[in-house]
Amino acid sequence: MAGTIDVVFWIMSAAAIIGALLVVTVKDVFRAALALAGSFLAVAGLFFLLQAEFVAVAQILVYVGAISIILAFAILLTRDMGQGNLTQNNRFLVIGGGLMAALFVVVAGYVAYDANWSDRDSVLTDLDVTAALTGQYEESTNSDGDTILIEYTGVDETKAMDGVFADSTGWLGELLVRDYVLALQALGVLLLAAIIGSIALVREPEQEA
Amino acid sequence: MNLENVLLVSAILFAIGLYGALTRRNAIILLMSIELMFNAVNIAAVGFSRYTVPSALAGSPVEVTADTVQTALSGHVFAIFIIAAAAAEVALGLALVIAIYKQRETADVSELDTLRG
Repeated sequence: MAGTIDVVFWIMSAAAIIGALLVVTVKDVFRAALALAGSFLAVAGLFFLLQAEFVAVAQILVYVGAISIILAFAILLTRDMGQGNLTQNNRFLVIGGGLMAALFVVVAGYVAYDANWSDRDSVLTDLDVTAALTGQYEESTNSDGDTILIEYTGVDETKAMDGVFADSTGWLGELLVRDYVLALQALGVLLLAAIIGSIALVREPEQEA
Repeated sequence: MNLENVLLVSAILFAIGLYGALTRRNAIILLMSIELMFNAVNIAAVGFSRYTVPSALAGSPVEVTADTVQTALSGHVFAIFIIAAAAAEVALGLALVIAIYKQRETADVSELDTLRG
């Protein structure tokens, strides 16, 4: 089963990386936007594999559904520059950018594979979706009458972790309206400010009466 | 599929976004490259969230409390807030691009050098 997951993981990763490469190399801006949507979709697949279902759905709704469409609109509104007259023409810039990107991959990859991630022994090395989906847990109340305590009986920590992720959406909902409620409200204000700002920037100036 | 591979994919995607942001001159493609980098960061956050076990879960018998879950899922929360912030950022950025395009008839960032001394 783990082999299948691996195959799907690498297919999704390859799709995301190829899409991203198309975004930064294709001349036509509209095709770049389409490649970007494909890359976003593949990343959503990666989120599903990582058992982050809510993040995956949010990714599809916000990135694939909204941001790609906004990008398409912006490209259509600035149409005549979409015909490939704005390619990179500075060879040194391309070489420098490529070197920077390669250096980043080497350094970050080295860190990823070399670092001793906290408590290395308990880092989960395999993804057992079946165990996660059937994670055995039961809801109960603690002495304070707190209903969100979930007690695992005789389950090893891997299974417990899987249990957390089996209902990650539910837990996430509780977290967002309890521990992170202030940040959530601030986020709403930020989005409102951004929308008002965008409208103020692009609307036609009113005619003087 | 393990933490290292997830981080590697994340690093590659981030580097591609970095390359695009450094080399492309079209403002809209610049925004797309920045979105790619946001995505890479999200992958790293969710990957860490999935594959590192909070110390509270390392004992046995295991007791999962709300605090443990908060620790375990903080990567997801980060990803969600980053997605929302990126949406706000791209809306504002594209509004700027369109406003500049209406005024200057260009979206080439190398021509926007009004502030050059």
